[in-house]
Amino acid sequence: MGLNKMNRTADILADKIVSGFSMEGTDWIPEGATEPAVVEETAEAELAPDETLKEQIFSMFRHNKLALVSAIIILLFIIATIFAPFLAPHDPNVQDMYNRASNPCEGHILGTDSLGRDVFSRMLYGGRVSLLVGLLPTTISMILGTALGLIAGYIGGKIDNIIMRIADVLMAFPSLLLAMLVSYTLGKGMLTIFIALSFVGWAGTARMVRSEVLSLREKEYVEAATSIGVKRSTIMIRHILPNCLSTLVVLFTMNVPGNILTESSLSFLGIGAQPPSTSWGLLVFEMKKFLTQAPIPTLAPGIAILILVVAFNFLGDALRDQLDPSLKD
Amino acid sequence: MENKKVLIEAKNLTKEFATVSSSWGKSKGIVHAVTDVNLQVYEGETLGVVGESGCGKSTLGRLLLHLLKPTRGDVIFDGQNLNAQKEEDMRNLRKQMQMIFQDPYASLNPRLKIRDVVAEPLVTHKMAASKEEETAIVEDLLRKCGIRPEFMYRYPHQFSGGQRQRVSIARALALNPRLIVCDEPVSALDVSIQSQILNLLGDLQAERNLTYIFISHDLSVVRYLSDRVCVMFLGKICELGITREIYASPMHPYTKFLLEAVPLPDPEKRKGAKDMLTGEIPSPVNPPSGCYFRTRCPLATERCAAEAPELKEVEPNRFVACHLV
Amino acid sequence: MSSSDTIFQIKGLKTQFFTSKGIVPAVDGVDVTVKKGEAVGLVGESGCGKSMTAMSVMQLLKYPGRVVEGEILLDGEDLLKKTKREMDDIRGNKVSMIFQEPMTSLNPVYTIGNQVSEAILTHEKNVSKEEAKQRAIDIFRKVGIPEPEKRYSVFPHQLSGGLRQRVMIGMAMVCNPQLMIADEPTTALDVTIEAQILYLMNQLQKEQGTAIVMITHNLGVVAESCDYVYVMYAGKIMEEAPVRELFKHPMHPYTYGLMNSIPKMTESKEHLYTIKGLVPNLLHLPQGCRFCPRCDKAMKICTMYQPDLYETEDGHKVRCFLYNKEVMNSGK
Repeated sequence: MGLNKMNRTADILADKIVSGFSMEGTDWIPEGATEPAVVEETAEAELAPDETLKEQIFSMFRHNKLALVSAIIILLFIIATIFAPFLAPHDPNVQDMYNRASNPCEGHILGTDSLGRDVFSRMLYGGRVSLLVGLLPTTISMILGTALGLIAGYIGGKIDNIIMRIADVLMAFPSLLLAMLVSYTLGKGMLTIFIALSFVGWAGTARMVRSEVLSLREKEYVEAATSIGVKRSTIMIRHILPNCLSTLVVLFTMNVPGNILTESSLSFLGIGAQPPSTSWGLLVFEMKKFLTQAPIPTLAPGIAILILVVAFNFLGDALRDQLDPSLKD
Repeated sequence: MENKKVLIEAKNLTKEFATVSSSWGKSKGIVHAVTDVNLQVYEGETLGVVGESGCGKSTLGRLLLHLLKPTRGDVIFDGQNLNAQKEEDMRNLRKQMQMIFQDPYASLNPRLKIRDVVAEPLVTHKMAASKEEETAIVEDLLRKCGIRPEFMYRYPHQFSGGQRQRVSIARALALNPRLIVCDEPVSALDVSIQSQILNLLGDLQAERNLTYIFISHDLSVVRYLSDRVCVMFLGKICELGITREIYASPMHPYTKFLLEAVPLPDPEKRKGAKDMLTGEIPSPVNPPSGCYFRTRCPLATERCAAEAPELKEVEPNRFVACHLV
Repeated sequence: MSSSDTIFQIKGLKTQFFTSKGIVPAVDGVDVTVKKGEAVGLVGESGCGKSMTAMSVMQLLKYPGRVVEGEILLDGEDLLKKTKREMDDIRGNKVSMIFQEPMTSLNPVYTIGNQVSEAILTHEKNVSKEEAKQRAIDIFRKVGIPEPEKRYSVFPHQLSGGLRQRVMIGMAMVCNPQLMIADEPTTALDVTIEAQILYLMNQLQKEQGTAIVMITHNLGVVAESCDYVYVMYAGKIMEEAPVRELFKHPMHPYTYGLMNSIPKMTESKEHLYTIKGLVPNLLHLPQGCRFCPRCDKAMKICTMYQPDLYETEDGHKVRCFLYNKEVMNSGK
């Protein structure tokens, strides 16, 4: 079929490169074959050399609008709570006795709580507690848990046994109970909550990291590093820890809302934020009797928690994908 | 052969793994991965180690590099007993012995750029004075192994299997080692890529007087690359000798069957049923008494069941472990 | 072309994957003919489309893959025109398939006997449970499983890789299929076990008259077990010939290169022949012949036009301009 085309290209054929062509035997082997073949990369996308972490995060936001929106929301929440005194339309503790547990009305954009306090203002102040409790103890407990999990998983043996048995004990009790225990011994207050949540939270992280490390340390690249003579501590930090990153990011985005909610429960039990100061969790609990009468001020703090949780999840997913080089394209 | 210098030697090397399977951590049995291996590897040669899966060839390679601690026995590298080394000294000795792994996808850390993978040995042993020197050495190594240096800021997943194996080789060469253990370096690669890597390994050996221990299940690859070959079955050496001689006239019945089982790319030489080895490989947890091969061996006698054959030198440079030889 | 003893035919099969980066032509116009009781080999390197051809035949393609063109004729009936339900009945009954990894293709929670008799019961309605069990035991005996009565109630993980592959072959053969497709059936096995399995497959092929399509990257396996061979590269058939003919005179430069890159059992340490470069990315195929960038014999025309399959005197069909008389003569 295509032969007509070929005939027309007879001039091209004149300079074909066939030389000494023979069907059998070794003389078909070209002389060039004795050199190691230089490998040509297929026309795959060229990767920019050496992206720094900053550039990586910027490019993530460029490509993933959901992550960008999430990051902006989290940032807005943080800024709003920091500048609460300037943004709040009312003093969070002043009661408006004429408008108790009411839906949005004049002067109260999100309505009022059972004592007639402005819910929007209380949310701004309460967000300080909730965000801090979400981020700080989570970070501390995860650093602690990751370090212990790494050591337990990589070194193994007795140390592994000791760490993991302690973790088992911690996980055997409901975390709420443990947090209560800590706060009763240390006294009420926010600092206690931080300490309690940090102290209780590491066990789960340690367990996850350990199981991850157990599979990673069997990888050939870890063996390769050992055979090079790399120190064990370097192997842990350079070869094992970075490959746990996706698990850690996911864990973090799950722990942040988890701690916000635990704090709510503790506040409800009278251990967390002490009235008149408040947190989102406490706000929900205080208002739950008035759900039908005044749904908006009841639901608003809950929705704030929800938005924050979802934002953290999206951001976490995007970060995980971005930090894993093999998922990037 | 006699006047050649022994680079690495295994003395009564044995490795047993405990299989822990009940929840109480009780050991249910012992896997005899490598049993009483005695082996000398000469400087500058390639020793092929062949055998079927579970014969302990990979374990042997790791024992020789002291990546696994032997249950019994010693490894002597260049006159030094690896068992007796302190951790720090062992790390220094590792400069002289390297390994290339089977799976080019698992042997490179996915989160490190190629440059950092190859530079890691240099950093570890402080072999480069500056970052620039480091980069220059890496470039040189990559070029030698057939990877364009421009690609060094890429991640492993952007390369094909063959290219990754080249990166692995570059990493192994970075410390200028004397011994490289190659654990099935081409078995995950396509035929056309496999020959490229084999040629590269051959060239590098000629250029740097490397000693290879080449572990493979592919008998034709071992035939091609090795000077001497060691045939293993269930953790023991069956036969050890010069490759050419063993392939021409195998003495141990297992070697004979193994060589005959290889499907040849020649339709004129099809096999009949009579050349076939029957049965399955016995479990290394409960190996048969006496000679481990006797349950599959058509020539087995009562003596084979009662007494394990020793590896003895039947001809100069030819060791066979069989009562019938 | 199609003589009366043709049992299975693939005509102009095109399978494409519709990915986010573009259309990947995994199989690009493949013609395969299998005669009754014949063993046909499909060889090539990874990514050449040999497995995708099999998956297209079985209609087991995963999203986003789709057959876009062609006919798959089994006994004159086009499998591509069958409904899902009809295909379910054909799979395992008229056409069966063996996979590379016997562990993953057997369900770990059922006994092997259970799985084989289940296969009989689904395809043959008027068989009682006892009969099915008896037939399963018979087929176990036939594929060389020792103590078949005892092994009937054994779980897959209790068997070695070789025995598992025997179970798979048994399951594939139990309904007397007209065609069996074996996708790298021995790649995961040791050489001594591989030899046993290949021998078993050849025996069954002769005894039962089942046609076999053997998909493999191993030229040794092809030489050992096939009658006719197709060599695939980047989605196209590059060369086809009877097995002896192909190994005696490989004609396509790719076939030649492939055969010479394998180390021989009788020679050592000289340089191996290598095919330079890498397998092309199917998203960025060269304009002319697909093998052209790696070919030592490439001519200018090869970079511009795609060659057809040209028939030569000794029964080869070769997709290479070197075997096109008009091209070769016009050069002189």
